[in-house]
Amino acid sequence: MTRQDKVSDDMLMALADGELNEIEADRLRRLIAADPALAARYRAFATTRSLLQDAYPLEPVPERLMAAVMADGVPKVAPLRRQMAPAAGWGMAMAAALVLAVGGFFVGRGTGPDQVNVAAATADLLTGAEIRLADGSTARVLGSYDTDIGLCRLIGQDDLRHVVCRDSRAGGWVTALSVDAGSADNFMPASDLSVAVIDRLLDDVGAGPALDPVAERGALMR
Amino acid sequence: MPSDRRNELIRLLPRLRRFACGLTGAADQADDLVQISIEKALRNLDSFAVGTRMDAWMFRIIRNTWIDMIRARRNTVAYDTEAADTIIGSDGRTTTEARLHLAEVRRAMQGLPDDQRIVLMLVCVEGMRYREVAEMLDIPEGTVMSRLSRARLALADKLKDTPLRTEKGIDR
Repeated sequence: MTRQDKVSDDMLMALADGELNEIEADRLRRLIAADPALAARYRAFATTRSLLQDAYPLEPVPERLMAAVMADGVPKVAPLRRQMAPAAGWGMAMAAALVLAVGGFFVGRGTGPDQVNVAAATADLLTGAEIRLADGSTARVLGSYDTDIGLCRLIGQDDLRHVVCRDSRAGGWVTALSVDAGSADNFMPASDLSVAVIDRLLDDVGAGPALDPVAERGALMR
Repeated sequence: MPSDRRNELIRLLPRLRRFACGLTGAADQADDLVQISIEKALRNLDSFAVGTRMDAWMFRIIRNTWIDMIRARRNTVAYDTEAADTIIGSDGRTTTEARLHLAEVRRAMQGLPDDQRIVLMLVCVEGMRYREVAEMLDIPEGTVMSRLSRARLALADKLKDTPLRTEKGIDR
């Protein structure tokens, strides 16, 4: 007991990680061999190391990562299509946010009215609910946010993600951003890249965390 | 980009991907993270000091990209719930028990804070020295050690009820 107290966790861990010089390591190994309690503490460090090495083996690399190295560092994304109807009050914020989407992720599918329809079609739905649209696609509400410019919602429409915001003056909804989240098997922007763009926009308009169902219902009824 | 550096990057890919798996917990997300990081690296090749270690440079880029992503991420409903449950890859071992056990290790790992997972991957899996990790993350060596030790004890604790735990983890 007294002997064990002299050895810190840091020392035991350093031994397990090969950070001690031979003299220190030998001394500590002798202490461990003579003291089962100390040995048990040491095992926690040594075992986690070997378990992690087994749990994360090296694996074959997908072709697309090889291709990314051989490319010139320019993300392969759909061309930017700036389509927005800035309402007074939040046009500037949106414009600023859109500039951040360098290289852009706007997609050519559908036109403005289509996307407004997505927003309108889901206007009564709470997060998680989905609806089949006239064009055969499925729209699903992924989140609602209180922002500096009013209520905004993230809506998935098959592979697309729309951020729509309520136009408090004119009424109705305006599409702030449409992103192709891409499917896994093509060269489109990584899904997380589009997530980053969406989040950047939400950050810029001061969005809080996703609303819970009660708050969301209240916000939709306002 | 000079072809020798490109080749070095290609050689590093399996390790970059493994590191990313440790951070994201899902292989498809790890691939996205590595791809974005490669694109960043190629655009910022000027900041890579010749004669220094490219692996440490790339790990730092991946780590920063990951931190940016999780900072920006909001609590939305997962669009693809199946992907969220995916267990990373397969470990190539034959016994189901070992596979289950390693999946348990990865799951326990995902329950740790990001800072702790990062140092665990760099030290325990990549075999980097404390000093190297401290330099890479720009934090004191003592901080690396305290994160690492907290992470190890938490991991050992999470895994202590796993029935398949053995002295060496699994038979070799």
